[in-house]
Amino acid sequence: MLVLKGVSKHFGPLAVIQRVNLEVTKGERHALIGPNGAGKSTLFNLITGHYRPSAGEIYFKDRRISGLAPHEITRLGISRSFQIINIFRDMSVYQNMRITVTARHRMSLNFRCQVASLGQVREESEFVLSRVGLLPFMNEPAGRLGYSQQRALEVGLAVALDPELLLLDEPGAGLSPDETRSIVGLIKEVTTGKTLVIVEHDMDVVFDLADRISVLNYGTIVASGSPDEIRRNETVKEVYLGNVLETER
Amino acid sequence: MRPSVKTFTFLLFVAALALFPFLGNKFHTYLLSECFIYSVLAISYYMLLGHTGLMSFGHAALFGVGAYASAITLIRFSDLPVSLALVVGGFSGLICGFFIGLIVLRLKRIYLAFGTLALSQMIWAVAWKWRIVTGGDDGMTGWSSRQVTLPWLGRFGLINVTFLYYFVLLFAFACVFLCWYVTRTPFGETLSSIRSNQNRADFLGINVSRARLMVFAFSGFIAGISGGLFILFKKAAAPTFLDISTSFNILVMSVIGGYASFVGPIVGAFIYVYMMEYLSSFTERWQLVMGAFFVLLILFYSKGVVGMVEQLTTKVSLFRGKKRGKTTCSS
Repeated sequence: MLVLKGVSKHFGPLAVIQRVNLEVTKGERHALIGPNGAGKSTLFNLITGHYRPSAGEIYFKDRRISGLAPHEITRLGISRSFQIINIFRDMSVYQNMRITVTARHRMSLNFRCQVASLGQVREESEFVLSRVGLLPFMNEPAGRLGYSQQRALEVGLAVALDPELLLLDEPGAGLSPDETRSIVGLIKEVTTGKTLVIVEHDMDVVFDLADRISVLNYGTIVASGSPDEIRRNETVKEVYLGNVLETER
Repeated sequence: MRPSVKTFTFLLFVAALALFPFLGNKFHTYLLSECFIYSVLAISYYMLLGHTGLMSFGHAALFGVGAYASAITLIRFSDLPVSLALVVGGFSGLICGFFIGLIVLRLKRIYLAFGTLALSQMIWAVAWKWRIVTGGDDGMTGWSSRQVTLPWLGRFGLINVTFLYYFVLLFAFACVFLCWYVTRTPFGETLSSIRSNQNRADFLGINVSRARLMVFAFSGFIAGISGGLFILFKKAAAPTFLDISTSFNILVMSVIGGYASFVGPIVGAFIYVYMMEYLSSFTERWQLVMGAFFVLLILFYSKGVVGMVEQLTTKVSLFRGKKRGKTTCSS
């Protein structure tokens, strides 16, 4: 479904991503792990069109998407959430969701009808809000929600686009273990049957959610395989897991 | 305010405006006409700044292009109805807005402001130098004797203050209503999302560039109509209509009233016109007083007069709630 072929990204002399090859098949739950600064978020930014690769090509459903604008890529069926919460803070929770749902229906530039009169948009917005548990707060300004609720909205917006491929960038960042558990439950629930690529630092989350894992270090993929393979992999232990396991102990 | 109270206030306001020429004197009828025209201009600017978050320093260009286009239509095609000249003004503003929007498509913040300023100055230079068409610094005149025929009601001259009042009021009302309608469409909400967080809008699959182009064109259309109304009101068109000072006056109006709310710029336009009129009758240095007022306002009430009124009414209702021994917190 998603194929990266020899993708590189340089910022001046700094090579952040180097010749990354990656394949994500339909229905797969793929986790990207690696130490800070390994290039995980950059990889997301390359896939979603925020950056243009310096070299290499990215294909989605056999169509080349590298070089397309973010909104074009999103319309092809890829949506993402952000590591740093990226919502419409001064608008209500409901408006956040409604903007997303109208965008999904390609109605964002429609100026012939009143947005409040669109029954289907309202139903879908309320449906997604109820799934992420934000229906009781729908009239609050999104910026006034608690942090974990903003996280839920962040994920909710990405899910509301009903994408074929969902990219989640550290959905548990900054959450307490309890909150993380609840958001993982939420992700599991709302992403059933979807292809998922997730960046996450919390290894419990990763091993719980993913059925394949790729490990990124200094901009290259050092290992890729099932959770068990990754757990046993010596290089991975050396560059990443060893560290994590030790600090956890 | 409760919705019913809001509707009632609004209807009362409309009725007062509709009956004003019979109740008030000619002077205020004339002045209110000017307020309406500036309201249209200010609301066209609201669509860009308050609603979409696009700060333009060259909005006068759209106003001026509409004014000149209407003026040229009135002079060259003396058989065409006056209201058609306004429509020509509107569409000229729309085309101008589209091209300005296209050129500054990728610019944001201060770069956008100065990009639009530079472009508006170029248009100003054209109006100033292209004497054959625009009359240069002499400006254009020659339609003050024009008459408008209304079915059943007869013919009215543009010099008739009462007629002009209703003519302007009608167009102003239509323009403001159109803007209000647009803000409530999916497109309107998309524009707000661009103001709130353009980056996220991009990643929701919204074509931000196209939305920006559309709002520039729409804003140009409304501003163009206000330009057309203005030359009917002033009976002349001059290059000053599209110079920097006009652009900044629009900005000042918006900020005085409260640029982020829909009614703010309209309130600002009324305050601006009345202050200008009264202050200049007291002193030649009226701009000094207006400037001081402006500074004080943004220091203490950055949301303008509308924000100030909102704050004060909230305080009053809180105070009343305390007096009655219950807490009401209506915003």
